[in-house]
Amino acid sequence: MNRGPWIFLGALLALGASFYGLILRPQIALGRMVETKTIGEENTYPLARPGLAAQGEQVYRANGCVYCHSQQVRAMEPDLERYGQRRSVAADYLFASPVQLGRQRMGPDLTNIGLRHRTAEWQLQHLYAPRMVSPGSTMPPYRYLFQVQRINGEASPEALKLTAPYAPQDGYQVLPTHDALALVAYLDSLRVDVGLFEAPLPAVPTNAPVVGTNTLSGTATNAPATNAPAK
Amino acid sequence: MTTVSSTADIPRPSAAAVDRSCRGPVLTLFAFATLWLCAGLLLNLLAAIKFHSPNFLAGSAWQTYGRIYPAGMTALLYGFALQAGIGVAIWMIARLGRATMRGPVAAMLATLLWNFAVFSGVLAILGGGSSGHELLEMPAAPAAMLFTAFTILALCALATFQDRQPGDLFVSNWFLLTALFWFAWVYAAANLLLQVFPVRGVMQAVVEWWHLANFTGVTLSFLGLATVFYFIARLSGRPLHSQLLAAFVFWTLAVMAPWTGIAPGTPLPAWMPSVSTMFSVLLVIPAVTVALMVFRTTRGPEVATDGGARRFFTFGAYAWAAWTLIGALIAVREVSYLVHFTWVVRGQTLLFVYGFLIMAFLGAMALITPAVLGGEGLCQKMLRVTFWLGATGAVLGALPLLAGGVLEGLAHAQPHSDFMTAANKALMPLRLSTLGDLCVLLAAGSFALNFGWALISVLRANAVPVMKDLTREVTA
Repeated sequence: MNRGPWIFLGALLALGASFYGLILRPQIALGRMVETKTIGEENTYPLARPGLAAQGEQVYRANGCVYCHSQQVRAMEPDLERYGQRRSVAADYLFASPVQLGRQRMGPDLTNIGLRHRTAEWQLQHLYAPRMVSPGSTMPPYRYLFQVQRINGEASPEALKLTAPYAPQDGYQVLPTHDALALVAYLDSLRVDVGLFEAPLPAVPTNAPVVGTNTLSGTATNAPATNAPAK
Repeated sequence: MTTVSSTADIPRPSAAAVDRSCRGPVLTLFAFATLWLCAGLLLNLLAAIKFHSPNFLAGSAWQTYGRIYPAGMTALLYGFALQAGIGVAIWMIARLGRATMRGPVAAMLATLLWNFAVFSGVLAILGGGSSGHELLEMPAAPAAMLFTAFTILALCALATFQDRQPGDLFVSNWFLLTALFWFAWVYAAANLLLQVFPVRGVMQAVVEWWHLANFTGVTLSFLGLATVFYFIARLSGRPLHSQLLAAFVFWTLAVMAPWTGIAPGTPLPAWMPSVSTMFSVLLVIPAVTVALMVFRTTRGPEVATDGGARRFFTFGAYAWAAWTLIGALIAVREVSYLVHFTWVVRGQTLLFVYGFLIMAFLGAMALITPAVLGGEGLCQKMLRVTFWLGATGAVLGALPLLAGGVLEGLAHAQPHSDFMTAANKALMPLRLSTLGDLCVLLAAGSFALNFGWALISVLRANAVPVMKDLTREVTA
């Protein structure tokens, strides 16, 4: 008996089922997602990145930052304590291009790196010489995002402040390239600090009466439909 | 089908004639695959060294970890594994069907296009042109070339399959042909949805993971398992135990593996990781079945003529089973929360690439090469060296990372723990693992020398007849 056609049909159905179930159906729901409103201020969320940060996103992609840094906070204690106030949800990635959730954390998660009170100066120093500001770091230095230049007259105000083993020789200065500035702008744009209907921010213990909604009452509750996302 | 009746009365070509018909394309595929294996493993080793000394090769953009690592994986999976797998598939389809290969010239041209595509893809990744999606890093143009080359090679395999001798299909054939069909659909769909008409938001991640699960769990797994099943039966001198179990593995994998690959806790509707976890756990069934099949088939002594080649396939099969079992374990929510994002992920990948793909395909290349070359074959002593280096490398590469990843995960789970302190728990395992990377690279190097030497000595001995043979094939 020639079972070839049946096997082909079976394989077609098996693959077709997963394509339908994981790609086509979710595409109808998730792929057509639009901006939503934040809890409280009712602002539109998310907003597209400003130009320099959008360029920085491409620097992030080109240099494969995703192989060491994830961008997703899971609804579990260590993640929430270390990386974010609330879990990541689909809406957070609406304008990411490409979306780089990552599968490894050889370095810390970067979902909220923009909220960690790092100055642009710190970020640039960290990119140029990670171990200068973060001793013991396994991150490679990204010297190629910088230019070492001879100082003509006065040093540039943009020049990096570097200490002993990392500083260039006398009479030279280290200047960030456009790519480095764009990357830092992108890192600064990575911040998830607004509550959404499906992922409210945790309640801050306070004596003030709760105003308006009770969606601030905690991550564990099912929020009522008062702040339902826009259709 | 009509072809069955029409080919029934044609006398079948001899096994030697079938082997000869595959010579050009199969050897070209194998030669390039061997080169990519060495190149990919070298890039992998460089990437691994960077974790011990981040300043190593940090001077220019193309040498950075985030470019070298994906370039190495692209070379290993598209340059080596898939290319070697297609070579093995073409030869097996021809041999199992007792049919001379169709379209050898087209297949050889397609192989050249394939390698040009992988080469330009790897260069693009090193140059910063990566798409940013794991195992789909090649930009659209090389991906399109790769797809074209693949289609031509798959059509040659299909045409050869159409000429097969009448009778029941071998289960290995199901695996091979389904793997080819699967790759065409999944690779085309993923590239279209990520690079040509990109989907929005997290759907990109879903497409990326869907491709990853299908590419590793079905396409490469099917190619490797078909190879393992065919050769352990042949080298054991007894039929596979059993055809029915093989069919069972085929269907369970085809139905379930495509749904795996979405880790718990990802920012998607909760049913997606849940379904994924369920199917990942159910894959325990085919994993145990494959281990059982290999165990039962290889109980007897090996058929003496091939001297020790069988262990490539048994090792590969057990590594595949271990890879699947670990995949099932870390898909469970509680375990995933602990070890996802740690070195466990990479340890599991190494088990698949080093333990399964490299072992199964090196073994197959070592056995097919002398058949199609018509020479004395590869040096058996050297092949033994290749096996032990490769096996040591796979174990040494994967196990420390799995253990180190668990340590790291446990440390991360401590409240108020410092990231760097937790991450550094994996440093010692990481050093051991790099020795494993080195061993596998040496194994690949020893195989490349062995393979190259066999090729050169046969060419030297029969340069004239081989050239005549090739030209006859071209003009035929």
